[in-house]
Amino acid sequence: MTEPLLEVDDLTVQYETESGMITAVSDASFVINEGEFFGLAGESGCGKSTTAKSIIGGLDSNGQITSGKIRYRGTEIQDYTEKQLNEELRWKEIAWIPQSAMNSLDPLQTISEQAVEIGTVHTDLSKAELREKLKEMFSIVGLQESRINDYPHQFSGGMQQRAVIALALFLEPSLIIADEPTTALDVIMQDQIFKHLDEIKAKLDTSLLLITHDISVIFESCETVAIMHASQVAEYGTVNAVYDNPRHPYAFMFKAAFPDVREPDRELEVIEGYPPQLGEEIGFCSFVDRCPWATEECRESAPELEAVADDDPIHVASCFRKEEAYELYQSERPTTESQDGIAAMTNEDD
Amino acid sequence: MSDKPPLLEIRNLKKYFEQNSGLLDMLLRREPNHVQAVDDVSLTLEENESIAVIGESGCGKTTLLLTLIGLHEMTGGDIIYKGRPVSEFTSAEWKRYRRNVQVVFQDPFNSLDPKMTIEETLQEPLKIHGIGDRKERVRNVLEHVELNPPEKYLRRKPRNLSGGEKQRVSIARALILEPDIILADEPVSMLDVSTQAAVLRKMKDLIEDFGVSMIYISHDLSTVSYISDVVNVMYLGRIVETAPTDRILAEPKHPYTEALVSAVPIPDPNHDRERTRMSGAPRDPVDLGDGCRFRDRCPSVIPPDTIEIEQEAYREIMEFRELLERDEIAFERVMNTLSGSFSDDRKMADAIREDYFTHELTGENNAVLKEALLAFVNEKPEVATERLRKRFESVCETSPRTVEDEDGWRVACHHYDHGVTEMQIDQPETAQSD
Amino acid sequence: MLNDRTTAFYFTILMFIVFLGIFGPMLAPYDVLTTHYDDNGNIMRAEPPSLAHPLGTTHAGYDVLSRVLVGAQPTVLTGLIGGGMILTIGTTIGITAGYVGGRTETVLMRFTDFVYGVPLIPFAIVLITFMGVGFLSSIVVIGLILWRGAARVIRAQTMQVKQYPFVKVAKATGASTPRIIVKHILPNVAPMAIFFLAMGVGYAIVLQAGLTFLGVADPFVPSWGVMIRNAFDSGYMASAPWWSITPGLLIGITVLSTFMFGRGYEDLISEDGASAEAETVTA
Ligand SMILES: Nc1ncnc2c1ncn2[C@@H]1O[C@H](COP(=O)(O)OP(=O)(O)O)[C@@H](O)[C@H]1O
Ligand code: SF4
Ligand code: SF4
Ligand SMILES: [Mg+2]
Repeated sequence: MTEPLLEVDDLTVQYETESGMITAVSDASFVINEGEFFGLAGESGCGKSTTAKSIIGGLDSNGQITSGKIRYRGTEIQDYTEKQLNEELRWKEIAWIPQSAMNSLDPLQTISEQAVEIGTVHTDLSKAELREKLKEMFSIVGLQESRINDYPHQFSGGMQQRAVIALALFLEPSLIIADEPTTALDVIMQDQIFKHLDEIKAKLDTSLLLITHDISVIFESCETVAIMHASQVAEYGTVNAVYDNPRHPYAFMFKAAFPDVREPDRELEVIEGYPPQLGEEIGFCSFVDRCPWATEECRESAPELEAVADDDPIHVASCFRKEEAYELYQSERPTTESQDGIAAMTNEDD
Repeated sequence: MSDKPPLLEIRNLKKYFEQNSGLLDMLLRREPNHVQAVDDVSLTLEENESIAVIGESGCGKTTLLLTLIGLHEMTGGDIIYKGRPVSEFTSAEWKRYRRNVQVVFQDPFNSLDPKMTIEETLQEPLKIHGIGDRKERVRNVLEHVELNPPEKYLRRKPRNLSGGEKQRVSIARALILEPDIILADEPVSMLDVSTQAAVLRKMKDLIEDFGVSMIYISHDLSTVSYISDVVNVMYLGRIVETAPTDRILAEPKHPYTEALVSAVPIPDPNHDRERTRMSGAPRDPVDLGDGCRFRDRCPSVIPPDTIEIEQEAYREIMEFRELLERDEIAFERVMNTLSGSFSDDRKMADAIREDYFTHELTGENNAVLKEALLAFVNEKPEVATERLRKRFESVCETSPRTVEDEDGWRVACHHYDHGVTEMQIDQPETAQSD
Repeated sequence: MLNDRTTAFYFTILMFIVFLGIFGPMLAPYDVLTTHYDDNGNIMRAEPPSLAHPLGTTHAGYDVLSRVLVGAQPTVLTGLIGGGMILTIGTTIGITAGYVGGRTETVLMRFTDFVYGVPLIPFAIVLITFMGVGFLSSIVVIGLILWRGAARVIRAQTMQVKQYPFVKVAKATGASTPRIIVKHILPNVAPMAIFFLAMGVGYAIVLQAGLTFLGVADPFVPSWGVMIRNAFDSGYMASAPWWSITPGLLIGITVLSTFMFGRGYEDLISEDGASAEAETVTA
């Protein structure tokens, strides 16, 4: 096997706040290979954006990586300075599409002016070359090439989104980090954008770190997925492994909470309660207060990410009861449609 | 059909807005532009039924809802509540209507008055309608939406509730008057999945256990499929297809519905779905004129019988014609790509073609397009428009009628308008030429 | 964030100033128009503070402390009436225009624009010819003009609040316009209104002094504003700072306390039930 593109290894990120240190990411690990689309899913506040920001050195000033390593093509980058990040990584290696991408365009500059500005900082290419590259990328994302000279307001919302993607891509980075790139868009527009991302991947072998709370988008467009709950990676593996053989209670309950047009009559899973407030030390499973299968053990230490099957080294879950939870869940779950019973049961449990 | 009138009937409802005309327009006495936000919408809500209106953002869903609750005046058509037209309501009837028809809005963060406690918020509707027993009712309704124990919430302000809790309070407020209809505008789209599931389940229970009827407005087919029995698909102010939910999902008829259904992501990696064939976005709903409103994006827009042309190429022509007629061809932008040497009309025509067309044309089709582009470059856009219209005019440039079959499945598209003989054809309500 | 304690603190200050307004004249050690002489029979011109005159004297040999105490009354009245008028007219016009909209709004805002164009001094002189010279007319003039800023800003805020779904829901439930204004709009524009009240109090006090010197009001009523003007006009502002510092500070404190108390009070009444309710649940 070749070297992975990005390795995140036992990453812990903390924020300093008025009410003390809080942990936003706790011992997270995953790997992204070249040409791989990787999805990071979970509820808002679980630490998705923080994980992504720490990769590109974009943490808020009160945040810091307190332990763990991030390797890009084998080189540790977690301690890179701004200068190193700018010279070696940002834009040409790793591009970033922020959560409110549409607001990230400068309204006073045309798209090509913004591209030239970025390109001059991060490469030695000439203006003309940069514009040529941007044009190419425009046509890949389905915008007319001549529109590189438009101002952002001349585009509709969906087109702005694609312009941002084109900007992120035009220096041909190996990895794109996209934070909820389509959440504000309609399904048709969302599908158009993923169509373009698929094409880019096919053409350039680009990798994608896709952050979203919408697991259906990940199951459909990514090869691997990590599901996070309150700072911890609950489960990580190929989308097929996680879908067919989920191990962590949060992972399978999260999945079942999504409506699916193919089964309009299926009852939706409700995950009771809220993620906990996390302090400096997390010596427990962060799902413990919401987990129907929690035991004392789950409060006493944090479960580690461990392989769930011998034949699949990638697929890992962090749950003390990963061997049995899913079976318990399935056996408790009536096979017919009357599922209100189980809802009532789990309600009584807590 | 029973003789009892339906709970709520919307008949040819129209809501137009005049677009802010500038001072210059006023001085020149120009006709103001009309935004046709809701145009000839008809639908029926029966008792204890849950129907959905679905469409892309900006298609007029929210305007429809605001018109239904009387916050916008109707431009045309009518709303009939239990047999009585809203346009003839007395003030007592308005009061009854306002009590029986309640809304839940999308944004849980602004749906509750930040200055009021939950108790005040929930008591307000009761006070407005002079209903007693308020404390008891508030407690009960909080229990219904599973905010337990009620005491914990009564004196809180919205800012100390989570998004899901806020949305439950909004639902509680809608329920407290024991309405027969709830209008819900994307009530879960801003919530997290686990919360979303809980709120959706709650809403479904309401329909089933309390006999409330619901119009659920959303752009998300997945949640709609969970909550509604019937789906109305809306595109640029018009309902293009109405059918039971399972039928819409299994066999969408209208090309737009098809595109919508096929673009819904499926939460299953084993499922192989093809990406959408659609491009672009809906245009602004300003002075849309006659014709099918989907025709500039429709993958199966119907070419005239007289010509032979590849479907994709034809779609591009339709898109281009639309831009041409709206005077939206970016002439200058294209000109700027011709570095300096702009003297040659032919070059310019080719540049425009390069910019707007990817598909090859042959024979007469090709000749006509060339001619038209040249005319356009020579500052004769009328000639270009006319030339293209003559050759490429589609039946889709007239408004399709709404056809309905015996199961109540309705669609407005020329693919079904003619040729579908077994269908009982509605009196065309949309095809008045004005 | 303001809490109970700070709000109570500013409330005490305000009460103290009102107390001065009522009882000041009784507490004044001397008559305000008595010229004091030193042992040599010279007028005590702008003497620094001493035991007999704890706040010094003015250039005419008047006792500053007495003037501050007596001047409290007209000052408090000016603040109350002027600030009150600015608040009431500004909020009423702002909310009505913003909420009702349409022609009403156009008329009201045109009127506001018109008032913006009215220069204060000439208007005051014209108005005085109708109302007569006097302390009260000088304040009314201020109130009749200075509401304009409040009206504009509060209209804008009202329009914003009006857009919120909770107002739409209230309307859809059948709430009447007055009800919506009182229950939803007013509480939500209150912070801005309080700001304008505080500013209004300050403006009124300072401007009233200015008008006094145009002959619009009786210049022998020694309000705090008038004292500062006197000090300034006499040319002793720099050499006898004790003359103007106390009234200046008092005006500042009044404005600040009005604002802080208003904010704190508004916070208190809209205080979240969470803390109080946590007790009721555990109790
Ligand atoms: N600048 C910051 N200061 C303090 N806490 C923060 C900051 N940014 C994020 N957090 C907290 O860190 C946690 C993870 O947040 P985030 O990474 O944004 O999650 P997600 O992207 O999954 O929604 C949350 O509890 C959030 O409130
Ligand atoms: S069983 Fe224990 S370790 Fe596993 S998810 Fe539940 S609480 Fe966490
Ligand atoms: S009427 Fe024509 S353009 Fe409209 S949807 Fe049907 S085929 Fe497409
Ligand atoms: Mg985020």
